[in-house]
Amino acid sequence: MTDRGSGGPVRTAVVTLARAAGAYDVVSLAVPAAPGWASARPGQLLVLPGSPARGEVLPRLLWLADVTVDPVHGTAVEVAVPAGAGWEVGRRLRLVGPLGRGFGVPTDPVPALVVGHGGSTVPLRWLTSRLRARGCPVHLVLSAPEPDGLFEVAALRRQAASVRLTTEQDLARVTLEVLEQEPRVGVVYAAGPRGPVRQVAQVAVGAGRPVRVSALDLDEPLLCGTGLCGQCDLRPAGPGGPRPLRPCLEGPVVPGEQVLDAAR
Amino acid sequence: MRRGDRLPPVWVAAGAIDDPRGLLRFGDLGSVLVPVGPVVGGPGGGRSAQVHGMGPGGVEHDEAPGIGLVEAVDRLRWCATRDLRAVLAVRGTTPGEPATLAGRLCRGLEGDAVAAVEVDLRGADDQHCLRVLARVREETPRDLLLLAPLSALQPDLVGCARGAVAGGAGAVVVCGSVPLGGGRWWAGSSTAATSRAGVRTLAQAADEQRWPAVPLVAAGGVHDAPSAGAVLREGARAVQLGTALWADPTLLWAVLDDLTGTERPGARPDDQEDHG
Repeated sequence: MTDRGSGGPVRTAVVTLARAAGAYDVVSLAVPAAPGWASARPGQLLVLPGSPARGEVLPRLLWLADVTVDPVHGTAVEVAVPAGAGWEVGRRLRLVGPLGRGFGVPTDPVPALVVGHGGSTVPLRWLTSRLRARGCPVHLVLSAPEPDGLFEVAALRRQAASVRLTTEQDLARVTLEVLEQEPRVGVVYAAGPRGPVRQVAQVAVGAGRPVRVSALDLDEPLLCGTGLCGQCDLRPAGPGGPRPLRPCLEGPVVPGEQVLDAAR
Repeated sequence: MRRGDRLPPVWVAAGAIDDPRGLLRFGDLGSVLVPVGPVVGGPGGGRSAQVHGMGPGGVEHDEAPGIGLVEAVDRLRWCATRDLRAVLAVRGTTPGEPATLAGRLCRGLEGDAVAAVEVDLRGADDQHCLRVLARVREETPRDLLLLAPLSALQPDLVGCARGAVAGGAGAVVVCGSVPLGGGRWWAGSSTAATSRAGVRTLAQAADEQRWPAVPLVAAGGVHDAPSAGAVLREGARAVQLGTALWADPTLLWAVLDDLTGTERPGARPDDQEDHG
């Protein structure tokens, strides 16, 4: 079921379970065992290649919501798709991944602040689990265009030390409030659209905290996800600055400082 | 690569794929020519082409703004350290600018990685094609393969091809992309018929000895082995893949395997996917 040689990390997956979760359907995929799955991290993505012969000019991109590697029961991957997208059990599909650089967890059990917006909150449940497993208390600041847009917020409430729900416009302000209320927070993670993520990075850097952000927003249309089209490039604000950062090739997770000066 | 050498059957199109590093993680690039550029004078746009929208079988995108010399040297060095052969795409606002850029890069330490130089001549007339390529010919190593991308929709395609060959082009790239005005292009699998028509026109004109024929490379709309085969049957010697790789980067090796007759385990299993 694995296409090695010609296509690199191309695999054929089978849908084994689909359950509703608000605005999403959480879909479990059975995938062939491969070394990449054991080291997969939240923040990495899957690419479902399009078929140009059928008029599909871009692939479908999905955040990894969870990966379970079990030598007995096989490897299971969870993704979130829009509710009612028609992912029936038994459906087979080609996928490429896991791609990109995900969120790492601290080596020491320090409190962490996780900030997310909309569809970019999909990897955060898994990230929170990993942080908890490392012994890191997790504070969450989440926003979404509509309440159902938050991914599995009930599960997050069970794991997190605190959860603050807000709007996209207030994401940075609430982040600053939490950082002031929780001075022991040692690291900040952020995922979401470019603007809010940049504001959160500014707040965290201003507060002297290390920050890791996902510089790729899969809610943006027209992305290839493989580092070829350049549509996700973060461009320096002025001439003579650093070269553009291509998140789907060099990230998506990058140090927050790298997104501070981007014009786009 | 020298003029007259056998062309690799599959190339990666410059402009659509401006950074081949993304492709390397999906397979070996040793048997294809990877693009570097388009290189422009000045600092370059520092970014890739912006995509404005998509429809069935195509995307509407800006012309690639190009990269500067410094970035081009970096990318040629990246190719050289991996023993990859590069097609150096150059573009200029004056007839002499592409020649200056190509000459500086070919003479540099990384110049050995340059297998061919491609000068964008889409929309140019026959005299411009001749002048530009003649200047590039003077500035680049003797016998280095020069490519002349021409639009299949150019009014005088045969005349432009004749001018390009007179200027020193060793191959003509027939582009199927549709100009939309304002620096925008329509590209994708829906342009396959356009590039096939261009190849057919030039092949027929060559049979009639209306231009001194050189190998034709089809660019535009090639998205799988059947579409590659169709344009090869029209007279093309090789194909370029561009925006099709945005949808599925592994198509590069699928088409390459098919054209070279290579059997690899797990070739693209279209039949394994359910399309609901």
